[in-house]
Amino acid sequence: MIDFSPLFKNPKLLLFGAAAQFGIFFTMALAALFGFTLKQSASIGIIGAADGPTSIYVATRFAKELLGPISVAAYSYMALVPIIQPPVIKLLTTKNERRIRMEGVAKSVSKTTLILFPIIVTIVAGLVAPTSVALIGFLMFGNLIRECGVLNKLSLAAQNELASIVTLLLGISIAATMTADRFLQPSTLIIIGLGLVAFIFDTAGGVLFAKFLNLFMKEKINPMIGAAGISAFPMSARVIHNLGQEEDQFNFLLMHAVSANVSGQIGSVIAGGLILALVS
Amino acid sequence: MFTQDALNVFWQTIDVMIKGMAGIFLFMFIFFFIVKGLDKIFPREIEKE
Repeated sequence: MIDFSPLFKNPKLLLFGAAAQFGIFFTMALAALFGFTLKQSASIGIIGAADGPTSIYVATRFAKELLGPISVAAYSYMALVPIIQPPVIKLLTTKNERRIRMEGVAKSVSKTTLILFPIIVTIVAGLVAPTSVALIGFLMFGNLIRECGVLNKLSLAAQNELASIVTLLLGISIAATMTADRFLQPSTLIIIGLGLVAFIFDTAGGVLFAKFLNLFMKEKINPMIGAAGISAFPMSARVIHNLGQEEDQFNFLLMHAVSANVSGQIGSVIAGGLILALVS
Repeated sequence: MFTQDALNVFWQTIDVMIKGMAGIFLFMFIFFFIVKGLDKIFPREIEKE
């Protein structure tokens, strides 16, 4: 149930939602070198989407036998974002870069725009990459029932009870597939290691892309914002904001980081859809 | 690791990487123009600071 309004305030940050998916493809290539098949490698790479449902959806389509370790890695690393991202960001940025301040955008978005956006995006995604519709369609449907203003009861139920019930059932169902003979394998350790690589390279991809954009932009972007282009919402945005405040307590990056984080949520489902289309 | 089969799959993944990253950026550019277009057609209001 995403709120896209932060994205509308600074749409150029959409690009970070693309750049920070690099870890998916890097990890996919690395998994191939470890001897996994193309479909298994794709399922392992998608851990880098930092999006549980997307990882599970791709894994059930391509590598059901790896569903357990992939889900464990995806959900664990999403929770470990505050530990994984800061050292990578600090390694790739200077103190001065982390101190870059970005001007706030104080604008509101019209209701019509908020309602039309999920509908148009679903249609465009369906026309360009039909296999991505299952993922992006549901993401946009959640947003539509939130924004339309006439389905408040459904929206609240979906955000609270339904989301909790589905998460519990999903966890229990996946746990049931994790029998000892399938889970206690060396490949599980490799997958968990590759998941970490995916998150590191997602972060690096976003930060380096922001630094690249800064070469051409008059108004500099704080490169840490790039790291918020992963889908772990709102954890990543908070991490970036806190890192910014560590360097300069008057640097408020939260809204920009949230915009990049929302774009990361869109980027991750697009990446899942594209992988489904390209690999199958 | 690095067997012939693994290297064959590796080159396939590089192909998917190039097409995948290009595809994501393409989508994001399309969404960027959708946002910009919607913003022009249904302009947003400036909030009072």
